[in-house]
Amino acid sequence: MAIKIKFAHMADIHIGATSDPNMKGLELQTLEGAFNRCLREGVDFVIIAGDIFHVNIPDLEVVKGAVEIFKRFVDTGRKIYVVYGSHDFSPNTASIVDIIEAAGLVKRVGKPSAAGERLMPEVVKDERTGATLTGISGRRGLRERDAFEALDREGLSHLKGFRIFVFHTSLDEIKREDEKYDSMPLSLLPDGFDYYAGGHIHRIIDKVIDGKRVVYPGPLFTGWGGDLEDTVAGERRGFFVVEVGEGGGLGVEFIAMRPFEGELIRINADGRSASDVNSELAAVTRRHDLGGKVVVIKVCGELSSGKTSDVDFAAVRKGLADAGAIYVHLSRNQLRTKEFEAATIKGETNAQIEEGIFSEMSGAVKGTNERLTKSCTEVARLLLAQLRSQKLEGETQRDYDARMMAAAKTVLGIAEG
Amino acid sequence: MAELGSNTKEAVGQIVEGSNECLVMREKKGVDLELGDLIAVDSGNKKFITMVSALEYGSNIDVERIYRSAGTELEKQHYDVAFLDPDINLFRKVLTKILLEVKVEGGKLKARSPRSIPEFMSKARMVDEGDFSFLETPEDKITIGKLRSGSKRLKCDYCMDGSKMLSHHVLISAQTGRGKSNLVKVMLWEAMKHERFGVLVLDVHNEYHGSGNQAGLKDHPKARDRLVYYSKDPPPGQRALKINLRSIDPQDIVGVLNLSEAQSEAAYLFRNKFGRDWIKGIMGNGDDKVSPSTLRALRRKFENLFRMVEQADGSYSCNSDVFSMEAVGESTVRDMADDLEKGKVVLIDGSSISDDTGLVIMSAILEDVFRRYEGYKTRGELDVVPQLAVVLEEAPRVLAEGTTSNIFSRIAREGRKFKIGLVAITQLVSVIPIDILANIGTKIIMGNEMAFERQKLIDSAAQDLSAYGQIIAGLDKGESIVSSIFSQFPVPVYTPLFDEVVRDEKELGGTGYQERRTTKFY
Repeated sequence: MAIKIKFAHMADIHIGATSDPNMKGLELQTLEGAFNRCLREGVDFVIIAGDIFHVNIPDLEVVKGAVEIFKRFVDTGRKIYVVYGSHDFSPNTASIVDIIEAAGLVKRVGKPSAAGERLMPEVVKDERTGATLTGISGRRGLRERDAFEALDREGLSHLKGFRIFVFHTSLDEIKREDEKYDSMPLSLLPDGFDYYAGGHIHRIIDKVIDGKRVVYPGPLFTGWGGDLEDTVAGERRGFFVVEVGEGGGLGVEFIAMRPFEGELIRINADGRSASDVNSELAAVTRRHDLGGKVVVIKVCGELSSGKTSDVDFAAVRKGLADAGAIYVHLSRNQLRTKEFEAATIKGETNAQIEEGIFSEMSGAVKGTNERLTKSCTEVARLLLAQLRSQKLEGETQRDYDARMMAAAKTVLGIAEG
Repeated sequence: MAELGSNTKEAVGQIVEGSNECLVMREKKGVDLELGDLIAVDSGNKKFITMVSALEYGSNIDVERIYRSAGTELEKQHYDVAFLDPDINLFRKVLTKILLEVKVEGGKLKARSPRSIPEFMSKARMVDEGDFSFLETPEDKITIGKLRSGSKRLKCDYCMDGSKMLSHHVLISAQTGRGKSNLVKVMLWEAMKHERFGVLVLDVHNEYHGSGNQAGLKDHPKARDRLVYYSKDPPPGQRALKINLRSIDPQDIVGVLNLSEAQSEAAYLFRNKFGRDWIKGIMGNGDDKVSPSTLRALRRKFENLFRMVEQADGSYSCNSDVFSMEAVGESTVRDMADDLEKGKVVLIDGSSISDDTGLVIMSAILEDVFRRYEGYKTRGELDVVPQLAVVLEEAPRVLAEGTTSNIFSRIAREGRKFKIGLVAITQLVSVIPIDILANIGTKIIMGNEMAFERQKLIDSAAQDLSAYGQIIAGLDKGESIVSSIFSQFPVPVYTPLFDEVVRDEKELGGTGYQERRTTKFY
């Protein structure tokens, strides 16, 4: 196939998502590796379908690293086309995406280009290839749906050349049965595009549905939470390279990135004591094959005795760090203890239900802190109110954690130090 | 249709004979009552609401003389035939059935089933809206239409309590062209005003959603939040009808396709062996416990239903526009069930899919919601979830004798306990088993000239409709008799055209019509 256009399609890079120095380094290394690969592949341009950064105003240190990588790429005469993602957009303040666009490093496609009830997103023509790009940026809570509904479909149907629609939105039709998140119907994507470059879904999808070639590369690098677990468990991460033939035929290849060696360790705590689980965790720290790896330890099940706080996660984290692990992620959300059996409470409002549960569980709180033992329900209610406080626009994870910790200590009456 | 005039206090007749079964009144000259007209008879501190069930001639003149006079006139032997005081001596007898006995209690009108008859020689008059002020407007009201007196529309809505009506099932019976679809559309429009009714509809003619300038449920002011539309060819904003085969269970097929016992057993066996990939298993593998002929027959049926095509390597691919073996449409059934639970109308365009395909999809969704609602009942949470209903066109297809193993007949028999109701639409009531008919609390009876079908309806109605045979046969488009365990009498109703409902609500500025979203785009 004679190649007319070649481009790369990335999404959900989430630069700055992790605060761990080692992971930060890996994050930028992966980004650099991806762009170097793009150059080796000879792509004409790169599309990043949203969530380049994890927040709209990220840590400037990681921004600097990313800017250097982008600059090296655009200095070769190639372009990077982007849309906002749900993470790196803010309706109230500027986004780092706006700043790097102003610096000429990226070009945001799909800006509203006409007033009125219908939305005609700006269409960009790639000078190097003649490809036509437009799209719609993502927003939190699927607020971009309004833009899709207002699209001037008639206007978009007249576009010429190889047409790419870039978006950062999940689609109903490709949701897995176990996935529950906001999504919109495929029918809201405008008809007639040759390639629908998607972002927001953190897995690889390449499907033709009702005549639309819808592609999601998933994240390039995953440094946190469930995504990290999946990556360590073997889920592929990377980006697509797309070749468009003279006749319009598409060749779509996934380029897998392997940012780190990982190890997923599952520990079933069901029916075991906290000290049993500690013994098994200690054995993990003595393993010699975990050096240089990202280690995810997933502990789940119901302890037969002891509290979840009796499981010494700090020790295992330290032990593995001493053993040379690059990063340790502890997943303990599914660890439960019998001492806190499930309480079934009925109530008309969330507040009533919460109050009921706190009251039901208050008897299980023991200790010498009178504030906790005597006013347990009130303290729990205040603590929950504090924990509901969301991260502020532009607030880093570290600042957020510190603010939450201080508020929690105040509520619990625990002195600083 | 004419509105009932305002001169309704004027006497239209006088009770002259009869019994509690049937009152006979002499009609005032020129009134020209019709079958089905509602007549009020004021009698002391009570009022009786009656319905004209038959019309007869009456005279005070010897019958032989009347025949002789008619002959003289017809044979042109004498042109000045006249009777003495014809307005007094010649008249019409109007037979009426007492529907209700109404009296004032505590300053309010209270109605009950008739236990008495009006005083002899009581005057009768046409009813007016005030005669029905005892009808209460339920909080969860679903307006069926306007109260009707014969072919005249009263200025009074007839509403039913949607929760009660839907939980106890509804039957809509009519011959073609009598306004069934219009009625369903109006009822769905009404249901969408609340967030309390999740209604699943397989729209076999794709006539409910509307398209372009054609009015439909899409024009409802709450459509954005309360209507979900699935189609093979969806308009922008609506969902493509894509169902992953992993969402289909053996019972969804067994209850719809004509599977032999051996084929059913094989289907369940593969389900146990391959889990949710059981259809792939059947198309791809044999099993020692299943005879090759059974497997071949099952594959043939699945090839047709799911548009399976055998590939060169012996594997199968799914060429259906609706069903998929790929990672597409995995959450569709769950999403539909979720939306029903949120009190939305879930509309499936069934016009371009086969009947079997539609029913298999409906079955998969209903099995899912039934399981959920069973759980809510067990946990005592049924009170807080919306009432569900499924609109089933050509209901006998899945409700007739011998079709007891599907989810539809299960809902018909047990759904009420789980807050899931059936809205069954059919021309042929006679093929629905009597135990299911007896379970249906509300029957909306539209025009039907088939005497056998009418009789089935009359026999299974909530009220005594023995006097309604001819009236049902003569119902015009949009006219119905609502016989419900929740109404005190068989209610004559006229359901306006859907377009009129939409127009009237727009003119009244119904909730939501003024809502304009101001959205800033980025």
